[in-house]
Amino acid sequence: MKKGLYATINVGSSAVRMSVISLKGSDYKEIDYLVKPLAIGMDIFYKGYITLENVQKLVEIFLLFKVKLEEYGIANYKILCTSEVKDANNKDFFIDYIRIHTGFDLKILDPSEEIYVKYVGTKYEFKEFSKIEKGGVIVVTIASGNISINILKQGKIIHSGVLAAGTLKLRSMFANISSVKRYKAYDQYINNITRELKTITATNKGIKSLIGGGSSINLLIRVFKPKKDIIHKKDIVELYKKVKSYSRKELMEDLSLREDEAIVIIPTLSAYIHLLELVEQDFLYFSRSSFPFTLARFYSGNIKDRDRDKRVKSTLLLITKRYNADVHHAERVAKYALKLYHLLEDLHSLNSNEDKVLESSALIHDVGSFIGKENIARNSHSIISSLNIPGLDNLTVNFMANIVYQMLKLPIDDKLNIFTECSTTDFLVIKKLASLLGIAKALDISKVGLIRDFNVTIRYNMILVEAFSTKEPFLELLAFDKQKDIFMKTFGVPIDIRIRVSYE
Amino acid sequence: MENPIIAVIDIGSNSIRLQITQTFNQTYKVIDEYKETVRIGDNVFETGEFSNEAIDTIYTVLKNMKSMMDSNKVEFSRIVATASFREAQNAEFVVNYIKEKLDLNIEVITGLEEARIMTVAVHSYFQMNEGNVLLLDMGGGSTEFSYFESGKLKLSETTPLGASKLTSEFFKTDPVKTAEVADIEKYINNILENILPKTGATKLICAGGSINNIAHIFNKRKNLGDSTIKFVDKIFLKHFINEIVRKSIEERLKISGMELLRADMILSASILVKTIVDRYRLDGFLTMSGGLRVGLTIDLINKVGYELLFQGGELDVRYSRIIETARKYHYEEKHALHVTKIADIIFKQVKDEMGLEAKHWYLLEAASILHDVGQYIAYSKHHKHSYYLITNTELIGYDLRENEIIANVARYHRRDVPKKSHKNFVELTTKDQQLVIKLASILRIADAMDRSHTENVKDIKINILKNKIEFNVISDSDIGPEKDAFDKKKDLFQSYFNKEIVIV
Repeated sequence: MKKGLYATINVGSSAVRMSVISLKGSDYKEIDYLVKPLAIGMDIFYKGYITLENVQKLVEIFLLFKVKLEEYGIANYKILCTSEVKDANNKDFFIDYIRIHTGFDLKILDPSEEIYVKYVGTKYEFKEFSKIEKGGVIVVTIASGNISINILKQGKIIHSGVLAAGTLKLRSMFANISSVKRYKAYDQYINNITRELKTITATNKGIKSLIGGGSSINLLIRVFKPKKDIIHKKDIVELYKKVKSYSRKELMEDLSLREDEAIVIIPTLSAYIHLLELVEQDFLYFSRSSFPFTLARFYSGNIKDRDRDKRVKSTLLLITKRYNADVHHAERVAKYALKLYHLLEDLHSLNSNEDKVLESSALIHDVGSFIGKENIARNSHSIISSLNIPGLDNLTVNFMANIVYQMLKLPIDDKLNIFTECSTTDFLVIKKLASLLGIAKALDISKVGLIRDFNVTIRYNMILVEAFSTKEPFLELLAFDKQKDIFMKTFGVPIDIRIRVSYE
Repeated sequence: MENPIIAVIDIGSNSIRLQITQTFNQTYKVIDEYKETVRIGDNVFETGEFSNEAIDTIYTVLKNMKSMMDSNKVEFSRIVATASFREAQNAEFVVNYIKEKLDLNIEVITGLEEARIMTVAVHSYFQMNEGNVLLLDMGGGSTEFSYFESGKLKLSETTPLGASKLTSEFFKTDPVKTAEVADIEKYINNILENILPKTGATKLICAGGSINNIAHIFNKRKNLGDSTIKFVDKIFLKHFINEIVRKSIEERLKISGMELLRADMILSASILVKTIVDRYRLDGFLTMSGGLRVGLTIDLINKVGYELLFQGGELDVRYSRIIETARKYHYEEKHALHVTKIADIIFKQVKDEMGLEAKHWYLLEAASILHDVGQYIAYSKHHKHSYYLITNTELIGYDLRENEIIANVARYHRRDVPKKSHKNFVELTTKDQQLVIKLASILRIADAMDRSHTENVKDIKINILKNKIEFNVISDSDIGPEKDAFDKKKDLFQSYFNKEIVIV
């Protein structure tokens, strides 16, 4: 969308927020921002479901927001719930009830999508982001329901994850502990959940910056009133030492906080202190943009991640490395798969986006062997389908898992019926991509790049791959032979290979 | 030389096998394998030398294997040949031919060296200081016997009782005649009489493709999955011999699980094993697959300067293998071992009340050490990932049923308690479901007792009263998070005892 008004409504753990932005080319301006407190997060964390009372309150809020949308004449909008709503046992009822009573279609954000949007938003917010990113940075969004983290260095996302430890969630976890020592529980818990990050920052020396975002930053801005876009660690530590044992009432009185702010201020301060210690930095950068505002810019197309494909590729290769698979082999298979895809476009008739899915699947296809040599197909499926990859939605990740499974599985392996929920159309796409991937994999089965390049010719109702190799590629020929049948069953045309050896 | 990659090739009479492994952190992992069933020994046992066809086969298979070794960047390798090379008059020619053509060194090892290597392998799978173990390694041309009393090697002998050799010498008709069976039994008994002790063996461990094929058929009939270690009972063995002795080779091939090239030799292998089982009045026998390759691998790892965890002398094989698995998935050692310690403290105090036996501790111990390994895949739903990883890992010292129980106990260390809607749970027998509930209820509390991962809980004294169970937790630090987690995770324990569970 290039011109006009766009709105997002975001249902968070402690409030419902609406951002309305005006767009004109690349210019943008937030023209309205509404917040209505509603603690559905407390319902989810305490009870495991959203109470009908709160569902009905949300209907009332939505109807008010709907009036606002109508007043502005906004036709383009999105309504999104942050990812913790996924944990509500009655999430389907919740979405259905809202649709019936307001006409709004609610979408629950995938954790990976949520982190990704936050990352892209932060990137646009900071003019010097590329410089900070190059040196290594943790981009953290501390919200009521979760803490989302991206660790970046030299243009690569080296870690990405959502920790189930939002400030409101922590408060509800330790509600039974007296306020005098509840801070100790926060400290222990946050220290525990940041342990994995310590390993990552230790092995990637040079991660020296922290950028904060989310509702927690709005709270810190209210408390510290910073003039620049940085908050100093010494101020956070000082305040923490002073108020860590305060009761809710004392916090409200002493810091002039609302009740919903008072209950999350201590875990917020504790989390930032731990993260600043992790990066050994005296201050944190922060973004003043609200999440709904970032969402509005992102979904209206006002901000785009131009390096998305490059970064997704780097992230996938990092995962391949983590699972002890051969990165160079993965890259060669991806290259061959893409070449086959483009040379056989008339045959497979897939759309232009599916080459990216094929490339991503190829880059990550070998991870399952880390678990064991048996059941590699299922192992790979299990690992890939559990990944959160910023820039790839859950549907794509599941597609990748199924393509890899279909490519690696033995014909007799029917133990994992992963395609039961797959439409016939989707299954056909998976089969086509898996068949192409199988041939590409066969062309580098010995993992040393014996086959340097290949051409494809289609004649006499047959596909011939003419491969150029430096030695006779015995294993490649064996593997190709095994893939021929699968290819023919998918496309109905035989495929064969001819080797041209150019001895070095 | 960090994490060296090594390869071993075992040239047997019936098959040539390659195993490529990578050493890391006092353990190793198989990264590639290749097998060709070749029966190169057949001609040797009939004519005394390798035929031209057999030499071509050896050359082609080794050429492919060399290619795989190159592609895996193998740093150290060892290629050994056994009985067929020992007997073939033209073995030296073949060794030189392969050296000249492929630059590979084939080492023809003696029967005693073969037995020594098997001994290395067997120590990696079995606790050898328990009872008296007879190890039998049946190849195509010879069978090696090693006998251990309380872990000490008492004898090591090579015999001409190879499966292929016995078959070609005794079974001239198809189906075989009763007299032929009587002759082979007499021949085997005569040889064994001179080399083996009359009594004393309490455990028979067998290796070799033909015996492994018997175990594979047994597991298929019992609906058991595949595993490195299998146990076959003597009743099956007796019925199996009665079944195949009357069948022609063509009819035997119809038996589910029968390997194409072993259908003839499987009878002589069965008769040899039955003779020994009867001699020592054993309930059955254990089989170990990949024995020589495992032994060669460990031996080579030791030779290049590494010692594996189970070779340290302080840990038993079973425990070492659990730690190896946990390390593979980068577990948090301090937390896992502390949870295991707390689980032990609880187990000892409640086992009688819960109807648990001492042997059940070994299941709980494994589950406690491995409960968090799923975090390697993703923190979210890591209990489910732990289940997947454990069910797809062969835990040495545990059978498949025990492996499944361990995986279930680890799966229920957090979140949902066992439910009838959980496939992994309902597939267990009712008795095993109860066992999982009992052990998981202990693990949930043990994990809660180290919620902050700080090892603050030092000891627990449990007081079982009429209407409630008191946990007296001994600690010199703040255990707020532990108390809070205890309240959340005591559910399964509480419902089992139907009593209030409290920390005092």
